[in-house]
Amino acid sequence: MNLHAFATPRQFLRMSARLRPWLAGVGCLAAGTGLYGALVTSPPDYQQGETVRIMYIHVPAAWMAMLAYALLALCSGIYLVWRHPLAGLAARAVAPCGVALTALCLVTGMLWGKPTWGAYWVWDARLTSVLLLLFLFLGYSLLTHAFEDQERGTRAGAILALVGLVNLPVIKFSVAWWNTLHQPASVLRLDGPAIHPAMLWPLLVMAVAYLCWLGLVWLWRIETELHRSRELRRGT
Amino acid sequence: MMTTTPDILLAVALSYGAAIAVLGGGLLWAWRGWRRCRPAPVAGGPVNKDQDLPRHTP
Repeated sequence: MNLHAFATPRQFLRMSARLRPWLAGVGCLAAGTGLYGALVTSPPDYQQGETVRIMYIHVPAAWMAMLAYALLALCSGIYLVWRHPLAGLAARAVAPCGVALTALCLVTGMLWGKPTWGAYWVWDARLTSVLLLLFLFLGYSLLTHAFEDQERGTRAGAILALVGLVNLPVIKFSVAWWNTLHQPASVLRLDGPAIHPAMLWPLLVMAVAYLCWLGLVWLWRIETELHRSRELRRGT
Repeated sequence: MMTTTPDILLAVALSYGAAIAVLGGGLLWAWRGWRRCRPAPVAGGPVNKDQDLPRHTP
């Protein structure tokens, strides 16, 4: 199969137009169900009490921020190897989504940390590596916009994105490699989730809602970048 | 179990408020950018004329 022929702007726009209503519909349904589960049906935690409800918006934000970075690195890799312009646009378009998700993860984490640990912030390995993720997204965005030539900017950003990929396993395994105040993984574990099913299902449903948000915003941003680059080409 | 104090309720409320602001704001920003940049539909003609149809003029 010729992937280049499949990934033409025309094919992409057609696929995006078909996908967007589904993402919006499933996202709304998942957000409604997930919020009901998070705020109404799920029980308070045996240790943390009601503060555990922050988990339903904090954890999916962290997962999706990491997914956004993986997508950024993947698109950047494709752009560097095959010089596919759509991959470059997709990489540029996912960076703001990553900034929003990482910032949300950090803010909700700080609000959760204060009643649980007694401090908004500690220089813990997990917190520091997620802060580094935010700086990588911001650095990527600044770097790609720092060049007059869009192609050069995308190429420079792509190299940064690939170098920063090393931060993803550091975030995931930071709680296992170092002694951290942040709790260890309780869902994505080799021996299965260590979280009660009454808390697990709203968490997973909220993750679906976040995934749909990421997909929808990403598609809108790619289309925007695509139309903008066409206008630029027409203008020059 | 940690007892529920006003501080805890405020932290939970602020977290959900931040999520609504960031995700809702992001959605609105992306949608408005997309609406502003997409090609305007041609009156009486197909939408995205230059993208979806073969050109008959050079």
